[in-house]
Amino acid sequence: MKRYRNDIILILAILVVALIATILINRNSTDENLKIYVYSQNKIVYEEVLDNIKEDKLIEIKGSESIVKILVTSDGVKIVESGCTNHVCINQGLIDKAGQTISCLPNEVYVVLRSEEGVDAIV
Amino acid sequence: MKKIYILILLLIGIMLSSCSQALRVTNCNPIYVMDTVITITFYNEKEADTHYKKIKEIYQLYDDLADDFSQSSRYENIYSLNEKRKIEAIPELIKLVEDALKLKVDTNGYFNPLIGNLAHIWKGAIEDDGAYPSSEVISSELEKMNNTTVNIIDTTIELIGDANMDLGAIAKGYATEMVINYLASNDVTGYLLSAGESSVALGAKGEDNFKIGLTKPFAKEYIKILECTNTSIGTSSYKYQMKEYAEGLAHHLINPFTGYPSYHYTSVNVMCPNSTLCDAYSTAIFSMDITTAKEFASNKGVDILLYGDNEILYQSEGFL
Repeated sequence: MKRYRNDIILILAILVVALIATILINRNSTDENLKIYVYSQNKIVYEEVLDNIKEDKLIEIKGSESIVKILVTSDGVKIVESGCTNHVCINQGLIDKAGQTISCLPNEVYVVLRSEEGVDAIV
Repeated sequence: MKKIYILILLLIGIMLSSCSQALRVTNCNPIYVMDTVITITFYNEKEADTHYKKIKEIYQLYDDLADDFSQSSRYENIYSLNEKRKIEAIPELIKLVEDALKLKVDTNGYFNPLIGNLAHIWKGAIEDDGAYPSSEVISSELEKMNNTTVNIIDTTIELIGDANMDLGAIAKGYATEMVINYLASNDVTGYLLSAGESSVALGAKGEDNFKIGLTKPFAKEYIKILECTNTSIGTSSYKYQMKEYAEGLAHHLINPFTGYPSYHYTSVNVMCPNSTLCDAYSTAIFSMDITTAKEFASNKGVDILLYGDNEILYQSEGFL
């Protein structure tokens, strides 16, 4: 048994390293957390995991035409103020499910909720 | 001891294989075109940036060409056709207009590319300061539409008559189909293209199916979540473009036979591999009664889901 001691230690070490690597690599793909992404034109200007939102936050984004105010709460996200004329973005209301989006086209502001395990897109 | 080594190697192999199955997801920046936001996600794609740039060019090209509200700085487009009545067009616009005219025949006139004037009238009615159009105006525009023809000779497109062209019902789907063709020609199979809430085009997502939520109009719920891959889904609904009047509900999905908005459904989903057809058929079916819609979809071999009165009125096999 003593003869194999070093072999056993080596094998166990390899197994532990491989197991940890597997867990780390696959951790992201099983993450069910809903994440908020806010884009202004072509840049992400805000991102946060919804579960991390403990207090309501009012975010002001500089859009192409006006300031767009976005309310982030633990229940979801909505656009509450925009200088656009049609207010379609405000009328879209609160989104709280993966794949849901809000667009303010005149301001080129786009809000999307994504998660690894939820809905990929909506129609 | 050798057996133990083989066993260990086997275990490590299984673990590494499990690691390699992790999907590499690339969410690209949004593209603001055609009154919507196009989003692109690639799966296990190394050249995502290169493809994104090309895809953006394709959408911007068809956004320019199909625009019926303003002149393009680059090309003659639908706006200039409506203004000038005769234009010299680039091949892409010729093909787009030809295909739109074929779709009019294909849908028995339920999709009509010469609905431009009526579409603008009803879009105006939806605006904050809009008014419900009079029956005289609608009758007059219907007559213009029915008495207008389109002549295409070589690179020239001419409108003969007083109606205007509007390709808004197919432009997004058409551009998406061009993108799908580009991706196929570059052997890109892992992608998701989403155009607002009106259409999605799906390639493959590793070994998984996509989960696509079919939204319930006027509610924050899904009609259902569909698991599918390698297909397209188009939706027509007036949930974001409507206004109530004493005379009735004004919205943008116009029946080309009556000139008035259609009320058979609150949303229509069409699923088939071709994005142009999904777009055109969802618009066309919106104006068909349920019997006609079922027969049409069956003849064309596409799947449909008709939703109205807070329930599924009909769904073909692909949606079950």
